[in-house]
Amino acid sequence: MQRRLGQLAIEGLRLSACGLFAVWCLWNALWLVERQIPPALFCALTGLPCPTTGGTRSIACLLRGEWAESLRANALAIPIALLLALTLACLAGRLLAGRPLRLGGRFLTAWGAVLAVAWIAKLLGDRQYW
Amino acid sequence: MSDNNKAIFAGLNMTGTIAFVLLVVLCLPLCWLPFVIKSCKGD
Repeated sequence: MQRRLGQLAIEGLRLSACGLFAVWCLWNALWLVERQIPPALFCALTGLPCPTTGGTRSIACLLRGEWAESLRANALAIPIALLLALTLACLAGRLLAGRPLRLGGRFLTAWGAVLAVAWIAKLLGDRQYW
Repeated sequence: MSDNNKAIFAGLNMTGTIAFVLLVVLCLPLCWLPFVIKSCKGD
């Protein structure tokens, strides 16, 4: 019985992943046909920000020296950018060394933590910056 | 081969598939991450 429930959960997850991917493709195709940049599906459906919402604004403000505004736009934009750079550097290093593109489980933990904190900070932050 | 690490979607195990679904919903530009993280890949 428990094994059957486990199989059902796996099938449900598999169908969710396939369905979600199909919906995402359709969503983006519809916007691109209209010659517009597709907004994030999650933001459009729920009105809530994503963990990385405001990231571009945050970095642009930082480059202009507007620290406070940068933190308000997305407080975790810099850690996310640094982690992305580290991830890409590790992948590039492995690619150049002819090794398989596989990263350690620490990256999953790091990304999970950074995105969770970024999302919480965003949800608790000023709604004007959503 | 343990059931926990069985590939269930596009070569991803349960952890990887959950991470993929969450990233597609919440942060699409990063949805490739589970495909390059060892602990997300299935057997």
